[in-house]
Amino acid sequence: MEFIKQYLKIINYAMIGLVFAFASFYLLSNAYHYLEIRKDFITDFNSQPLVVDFETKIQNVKENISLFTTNNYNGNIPMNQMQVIYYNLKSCADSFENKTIQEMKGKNKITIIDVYRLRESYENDILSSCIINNLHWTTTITPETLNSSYLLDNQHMIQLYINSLKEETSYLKKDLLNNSSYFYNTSIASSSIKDNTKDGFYEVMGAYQKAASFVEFISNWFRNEVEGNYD
Amino acid sequence: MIKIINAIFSILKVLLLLISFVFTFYIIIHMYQRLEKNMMDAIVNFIPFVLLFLLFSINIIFRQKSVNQCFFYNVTCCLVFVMLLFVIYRTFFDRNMVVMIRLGYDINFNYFADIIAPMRAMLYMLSLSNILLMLEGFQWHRNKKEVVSTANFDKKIIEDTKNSIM
Repeated sequence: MEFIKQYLKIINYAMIGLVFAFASFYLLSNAYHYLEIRKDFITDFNSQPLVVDFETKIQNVKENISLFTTNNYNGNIPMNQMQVIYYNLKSCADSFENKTIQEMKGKNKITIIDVYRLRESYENDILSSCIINNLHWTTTITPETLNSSYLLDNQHMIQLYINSLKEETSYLKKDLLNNSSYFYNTSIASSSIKDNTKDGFYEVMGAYQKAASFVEFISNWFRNEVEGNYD
Repeated sequence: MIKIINAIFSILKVLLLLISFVFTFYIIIHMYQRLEKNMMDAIVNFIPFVLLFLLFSINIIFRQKSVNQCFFYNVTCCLVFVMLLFVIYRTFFDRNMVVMIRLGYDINFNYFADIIAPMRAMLYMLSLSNILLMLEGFQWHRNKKEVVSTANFDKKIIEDTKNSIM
């Protein structure tokens, strides 16, 4: 009887030890995760090279489209089509000055939630409103629908570029959603949590810049069309 | 000194159990409401709390010294409940978790759901340990020791420290 008692005692203490280890693991893992996702990226949003670059591109877009008036255009493309393209580009330029970007302008500290909001705004305002709604026609034109050899020649390249813009932040989205689980922190998971704020910020602003480059590319063609530099 | 600390942990574990149970109950009920699941299914999550509370009550009422004086057990219980309360705190207040912003609720159910299974496992293990500790010190008849005093040779009877029902 005494032997069984001693044996049960060993099992019991081993079990308490196991619970102690589990609880310690969860507590430390949670504390680590809590501190990691609180990490901020201290930077002045307005002076970030990526931000400056995309804002310069959008400024160029505005300047390019401002040259167009119904009186000064004498090209091959019908006037109503040029007006539609003008409004498409104008709408695109406006979507880059969305609410999220305006809110970010005064900030000198980026949090993981800011990165998430920037990504959401990229998906809603830039991809959906600008690229898909206003500029996706560039991939579907034919010589019958739009008389522009320049755009027709570059159509395949534009299609590839738009496809890459669509997928630009999909990986970041998965990464950001992962930040809400501390479960079994592998080295890969912890490294992705560690740099999510800083890396995510660069990734999403890189996507903004890439989209701005595309809009600038179309606006450059528009300007040349207005000035009569293309066929 | 160790006895005082042990007594503190012994009381603390009961208080922490009650606090963590209240918040866990609140979160799980809201979680099941949001998912429109049957409330009866939520009961399995509360059974380990109730079981542990019953065992703690038995420990206190019958003065189960083998449990109440087990420092390791008391510390482990407190650690489990502190961990649980930390998770509960984050479930309500950690706004850096993207899922909380994404779902738009004031309670991060997604995060709390991760802890439910380990929580239940740990509470059941604590209950089992409690029972084993009780059995370890259990005797059907109270041991009586005869102590002979050298001063007056009168026989005195003192109680043993082990658990018993008689």
